[in-house]
Amino acid sequence: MNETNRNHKNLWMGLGIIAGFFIILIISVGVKWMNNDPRLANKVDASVLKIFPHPIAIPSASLIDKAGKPFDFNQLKNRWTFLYFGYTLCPDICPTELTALAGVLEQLREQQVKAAHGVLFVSVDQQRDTPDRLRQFVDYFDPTIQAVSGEESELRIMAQPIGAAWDKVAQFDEQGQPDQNNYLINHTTSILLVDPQGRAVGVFPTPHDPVAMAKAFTTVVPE
Amino acid sequence: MNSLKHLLALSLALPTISLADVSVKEAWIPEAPPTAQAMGAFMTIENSDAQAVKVIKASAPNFDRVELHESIEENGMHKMIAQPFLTIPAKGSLELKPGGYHIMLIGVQQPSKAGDVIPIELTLDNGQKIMVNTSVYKRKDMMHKMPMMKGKSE
Repeated sequence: MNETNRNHKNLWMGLGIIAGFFIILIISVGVKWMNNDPRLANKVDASVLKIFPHPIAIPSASLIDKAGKPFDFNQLKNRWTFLYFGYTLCPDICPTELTALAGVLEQLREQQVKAAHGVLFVSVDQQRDTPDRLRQFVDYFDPTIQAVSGEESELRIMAQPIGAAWDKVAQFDEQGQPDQNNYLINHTTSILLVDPQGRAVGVFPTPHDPVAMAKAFTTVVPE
Repeated sequence: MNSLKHLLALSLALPTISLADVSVKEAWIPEAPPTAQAMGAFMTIENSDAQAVKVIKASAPNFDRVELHESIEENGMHKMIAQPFLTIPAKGSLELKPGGYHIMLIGVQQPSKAGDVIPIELTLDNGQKIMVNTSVYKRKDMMHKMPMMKGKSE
């Protein structure tokens, strides 16, 4: 009887020690992930990649991808994402930025970087950017780039916490009437870095040099 | 920037057309994705005259219309603003480049590929017209030479 009790006591003590160990581990990992490592910010040139003081969770929204399927926000998980907002009829800046992003992917491929990563292009022009147009546009730069769009209200849900913004600018036809199909969109040109938990952890300010961006990425992201 | 200049000097011998005191060099158009309805044209316009000169109009075949534009970045937002004219200072030059002044070719009637040449006619406020044979390049090839368009800082 005593023998059994002692055995039980030892078992419970053992379990307690193991549980305690895990609690400490979880807390320490949690604390590490709740705040970005301040040393991280010192490791990279802020003019290339500015690390946020705290990661910003990106809310899920109802969006459609370039294959015409609902976009699963879990695609933002388990990999790093370069996130950019624009539109396919953007004449100058978006093609320049997507060329830079395709350049980053090429750099990371060349360096055989193991950390899973990808590019997500969010079109803020749901009126004109059909899945087919999105696919043609991003595939021109790099077919691995994912593209999504959706209702204005859904896009705003996703974009608002991370500071992505845009404004439609009417263009006028020869009669001076606003042209319903021919408009420009002023929009933010930053590229966000999203961690494997789907949180924006930093921003690549313009100008975007693919070589410098790839270097900053490999500095920040553990192998 | 030097390597770009060399590249352009080598490969863009064609577009250097000089008429009177205004000349154009390093004219190029980035190839656009298949979805594009507009393309930007970039070049350096030089004026050796003692008087400033204005480009008041640009035109090109196979486009619905051509506008003079400036790209600006304000509070992290990118904007494109149509300009009534572009001023080339006396004994100076104006560089049209990504993220700055450019000629916007709007309403692509026929897609252009790298290697194509698009003739752009510039009209100056003194009535002079300048024909610029502008070559289409892959954006990637130009970025590679210019470790990225440094925008206004360059």
